[in-house]
Amino acid sequence: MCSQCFRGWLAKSDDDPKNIAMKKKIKISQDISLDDLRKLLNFFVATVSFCGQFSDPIYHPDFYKILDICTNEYPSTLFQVHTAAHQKNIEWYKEAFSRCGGNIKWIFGLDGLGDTSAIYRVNQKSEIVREAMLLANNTLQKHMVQWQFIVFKHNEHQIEEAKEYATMHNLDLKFVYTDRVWGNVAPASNQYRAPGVVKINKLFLSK
Amino acid sequence: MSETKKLKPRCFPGNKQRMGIAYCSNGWLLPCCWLDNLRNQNELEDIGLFDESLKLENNKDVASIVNSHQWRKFIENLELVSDKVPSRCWEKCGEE
Repeated sequence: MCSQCFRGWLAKSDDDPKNIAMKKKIKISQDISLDDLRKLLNFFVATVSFCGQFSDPIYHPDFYKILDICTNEYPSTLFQVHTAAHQKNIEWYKEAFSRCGGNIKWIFGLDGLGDTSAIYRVNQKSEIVREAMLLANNTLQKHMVQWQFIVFKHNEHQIEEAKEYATMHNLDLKFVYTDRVWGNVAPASNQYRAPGVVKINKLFLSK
Repeated sequence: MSETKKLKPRCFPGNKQRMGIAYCSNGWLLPCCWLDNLRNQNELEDIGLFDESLKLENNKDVASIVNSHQWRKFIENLELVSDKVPSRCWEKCGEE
């Protein structure tokens, strides 16, 4: 789960209003049905983004079917899959990417190299995400894969290394500057920090 | 909400940083994903955006939701900068 979700509220005592509100929200949360998905896709015809606020789109139990629907039924719509979670193995991703038409873009949330990303994205198996990102970049059409790197104090020293890595692998890399804080995660130095959730993006497009 | 802040709703057409409509995990549509926030749940319930009739599964299409009187009223409140504008809108789309 993204640290921006309200899971921290669950850590509060059972009778804390925030804990109660969070449990209520989780209780009424659901995976979108394919019928409802089609209602959305019949209305929003330009761009549709899949992103999780309480989870991650790749955990939808019918995610493969969703990719099929996007590819085959709505080929003129651009889809963006925003994911920072990991599936259990790379085989899952191979199957997923094989179902993607040229209208589906994947954006991977990986805030650094090595174990650094999991400092903010707690419990993320970053190595699987990185491997999946490279596989996607080798499988999908040009510029249909993007590496999103949120800059914090604990990962700003990897910015140049990330640029080199992206260049080496022909990856589109986007730095997100923010002033968000969470738990022990501190905002980046002033030169890499921006007020608001996201104000400045630096995008390095592969050639 | 604020005498010094101006409201520049990013859900409005023409805003260069326009935010799209969000479908939330509870089954409702919201004018943007920033409103899918536990802190402003009550405010949105008060203005009707979480009415059962607006749940996507209870509608045959999206148009019937975004053209509903609740959504029209929400937009009108933003246009008039009324005191019914949710605090989250000021937080995310208010500018000094």
